[in-house]
Amino acid sequence: MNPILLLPEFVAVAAALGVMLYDLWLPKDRKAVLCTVSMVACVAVFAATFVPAVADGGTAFGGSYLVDGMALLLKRLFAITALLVFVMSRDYVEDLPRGRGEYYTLCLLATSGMLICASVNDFMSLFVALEVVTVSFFVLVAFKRDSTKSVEAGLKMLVIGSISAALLLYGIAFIYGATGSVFFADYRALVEAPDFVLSTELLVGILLVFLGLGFKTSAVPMHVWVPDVYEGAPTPITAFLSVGSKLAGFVLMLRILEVFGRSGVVADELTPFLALIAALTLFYGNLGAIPQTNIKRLMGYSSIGQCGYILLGVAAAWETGISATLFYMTAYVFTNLAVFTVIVYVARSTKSHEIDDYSGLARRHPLLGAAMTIGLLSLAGVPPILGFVGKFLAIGAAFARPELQWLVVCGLINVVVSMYYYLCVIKRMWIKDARHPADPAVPRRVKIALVVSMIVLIGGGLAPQLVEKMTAPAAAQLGLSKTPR
Amino acid sequence: MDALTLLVVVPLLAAGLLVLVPATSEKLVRWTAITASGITLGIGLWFFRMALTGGEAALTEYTAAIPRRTWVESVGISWSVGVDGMSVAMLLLNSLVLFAGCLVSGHAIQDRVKEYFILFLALGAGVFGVFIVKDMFFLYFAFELAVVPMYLLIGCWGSPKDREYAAMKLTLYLTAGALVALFGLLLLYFETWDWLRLADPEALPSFHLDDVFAASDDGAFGVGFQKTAFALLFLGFATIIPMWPLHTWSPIGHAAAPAAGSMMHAGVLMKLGSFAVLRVAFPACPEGAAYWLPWVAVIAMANIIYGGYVAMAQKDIKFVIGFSSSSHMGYTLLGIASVTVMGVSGAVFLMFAHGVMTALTFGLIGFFYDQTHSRYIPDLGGLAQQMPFVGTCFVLATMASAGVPGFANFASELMVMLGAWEAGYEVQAVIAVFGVVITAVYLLRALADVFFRARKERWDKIKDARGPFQRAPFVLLILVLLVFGMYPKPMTDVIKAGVEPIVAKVQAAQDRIARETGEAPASRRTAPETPAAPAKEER
Repeated sequence: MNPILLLPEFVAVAAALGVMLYDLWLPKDRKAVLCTVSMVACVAVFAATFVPAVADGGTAFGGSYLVDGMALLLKRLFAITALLVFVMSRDYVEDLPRGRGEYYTLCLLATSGMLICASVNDFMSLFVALEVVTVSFFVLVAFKRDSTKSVEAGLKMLVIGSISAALLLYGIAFIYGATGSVFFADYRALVEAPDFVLSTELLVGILLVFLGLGFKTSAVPMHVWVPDVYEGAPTPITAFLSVGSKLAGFVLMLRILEVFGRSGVVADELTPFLALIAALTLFYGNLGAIPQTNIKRLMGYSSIGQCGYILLGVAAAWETGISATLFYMTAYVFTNLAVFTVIVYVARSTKSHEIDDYSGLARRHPLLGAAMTIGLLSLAGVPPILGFVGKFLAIGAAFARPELQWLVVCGLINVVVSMYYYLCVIKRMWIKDARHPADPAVPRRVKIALVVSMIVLIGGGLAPQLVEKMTAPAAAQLGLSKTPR
Repeated sequence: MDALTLLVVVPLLAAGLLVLVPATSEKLVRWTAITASGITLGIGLWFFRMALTGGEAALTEYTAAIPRRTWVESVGISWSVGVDGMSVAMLLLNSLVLFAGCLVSGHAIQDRVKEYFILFLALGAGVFGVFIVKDMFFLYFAFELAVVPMYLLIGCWGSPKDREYAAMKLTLYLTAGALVALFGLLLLYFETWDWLRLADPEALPSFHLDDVFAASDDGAFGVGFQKTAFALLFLGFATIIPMWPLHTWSPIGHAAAPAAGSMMHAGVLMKLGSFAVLRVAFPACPEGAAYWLPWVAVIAMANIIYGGYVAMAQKDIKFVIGFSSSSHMGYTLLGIASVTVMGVSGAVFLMFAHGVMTALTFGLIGFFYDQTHSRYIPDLGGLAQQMPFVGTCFVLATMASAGVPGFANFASELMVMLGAWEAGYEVQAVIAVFGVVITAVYLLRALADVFFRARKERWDKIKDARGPFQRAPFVLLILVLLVFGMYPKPMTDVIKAGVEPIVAKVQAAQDRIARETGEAPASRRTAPETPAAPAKEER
């Protein structure tokens, strides 16, 4: 029993409850203080992951809770994600008619759920952690009660989220039936035993779990909610959903892969399945993005496409593949949040999410234009930006497995496809004349966040070893195969 | 820091500095860019001098002294640079065109000057990167770094009519080409890793070209593998050359780009493909090259003849030069396909000469287009009366392009034809000579229609290039063409020393194939003396 390991989660939960209480005392016009409190809480969570007792790693609660390199890396990413989401939320929330305090509370609760997701080590905590995230998001997505789209988005997410939760539970039940345990430690011992035979029930269970997690990561076939929900949800929540919630899904996928994939038998059975999902996700997301005229829908499809690239590294299921996946996820945090920050502030002045309203942005507001351009190019995978290296590594890792080379071809084709629709946005920002002469007002806090994100994106692209030094050891610690076989 | 890395760092650093400069101080922006490109020109000349005085040995020694700087260890990425005779010629070309391009843009670009030069310098850095890196990751990195700024350069500062379409087409074609090549590069990477693990099971993979070549020399790449890998690499890079029928992005890209954009695009960007073929595909897959190159020699004819005829039919002066470029690249392809020292060094020399010539041509066209706002040949005419200096330069550029003796283009095209003849491609050599006639027809016709004939009053307000600042880039490029045309030996010596080892490898593979199939040996007269290691059996 080692509860100090949960320090980051304690901080997040305490902040969530603290904000909820403090909200009661604050007069209506001073709710912005809550945003500051939440941002401080994120910094505190980030700092808590560096406390030696936490950073050294270990297990707690009889092995239900695990802190290792990957968990720590993801916790830091979640803290950064939440921080950047709060940075872009402040002005947005001020415009909301009601429920400003609850907004921050729910965001912090979702964050705490994500933090736990990074560390789960048995199926019960997995399910609970995941539902903490999902339920918070159900409310947050439908937060603009007066907007039909927002409510519809919330309902849509609720329905599909429930189906995926049912699939997940069904899968867990299968695995429990096959093994008689919910603890990951037991599974590790089981698959590593020399007399291990993969039973059909176990395989079906694992596949169902992956399917259920596909809801969070927006992988085909559990992706159908994404474009509508991304469009309807409040924009900062879309950002949070597209980064935090997705990464929570991926870290769980990686955890399951680590648990069962250490047996070559299971990995071999899983790879074709994951590869198929990755290919479908790639094509669905990237082809679907082409005709979009609304930037939030475009980012929805783009996020499906990006999920496909991350799955490329997951399907490869060897050490470098996982390292590439973690690299990609790190790049994705800064990239997507920079893009969404711009979307929030452009919409504040134009009151629109139409891509045509981005015309002339590079001239109208060079900083927003530059951040959006760099963000989109990073998503497209253009050097010298961080996203390029992530994509390169993920494609390289999948290429190492001869049976996945067809998937690499799919990935490469989609690089060209995605280049097209990202460039279509960039084209409007740079080439077209402005429709809106109005300058979007951007507070200093946001400017700093954007500049820092751009520095991280370009600096990391030029010197990827700085990021790789964090992801490679985390991946190595998982103990998957060192070579692609 | 070694001087080669500086070639990439200086433009990037200047671009970074420009971000901080306020957009209103346009003069400072221009001078920063001109200074940065001037420094790279200095470095380019310094390397050329090193190659002249010390020969290939000096370059090899210089390269050997540069350490591999580990970048991402676990996947084997390192920042590692090097030069040989071939890349020295290309470095000189790029630095010349970059410098001239900055000078031309200095007065031609008036809108969003800061953004323009940031992108222009990034483009220059990417091109330098391709010419110097010895790591496959950074090869791809540098190439893509060159492509995307081109999108914005064409899109924002190009001619309004067709710029959006042209920019998108160019970017998608080049990216797709690069991705096909990337597939080939990854094949080499993993095959090399397998080879490295034979010696040491714990060995980490490596993107370094020296490791790839070592594996290739050791016979680690089977014949079938080499055929696949070479086909992918060549197909990918040939999109950039551009080889017929993958060339359609290129003429419209030239046409829509701003003057300096076309200069960089036609001058150096198109050379990246043929350079990468020689730098990577030839030494890594000599057997593959020997197998596929006869086909390339045939396709090269399509480039020369088809490109030439299409150029004849154009009414837009930039399209004439654009198709002329892809026609000229046919000679480069033929030279490469000949696999003789004469032919390949001719091809590299042609890349240099064509780069300088076409940069000059597009600089001049840009100069009058900025005032006439028309590129439609029937609209123009008699411009030499209003702009005698530009007209004179254009006549010289046309002569160079048409292969008149005295210009570097003549020397290089002659070398290509001799090389093709030597390699036994007599038919192709004859067709190539015929191509020169086609070139002369469309170029002289365009020249006459644009600059001569009756004076048109509507163009009377046009101003000629005045003052040293406007004339300098054109004079500089003409001088280079004339100097290397009158006395090509220094340049050809440098290039020959660089291509000899590459050509020898492929020739050895050709001889081996000839021996194995029992056919008569290739009609090549200079057979290599040292037989290379036999290739590993097909796995």
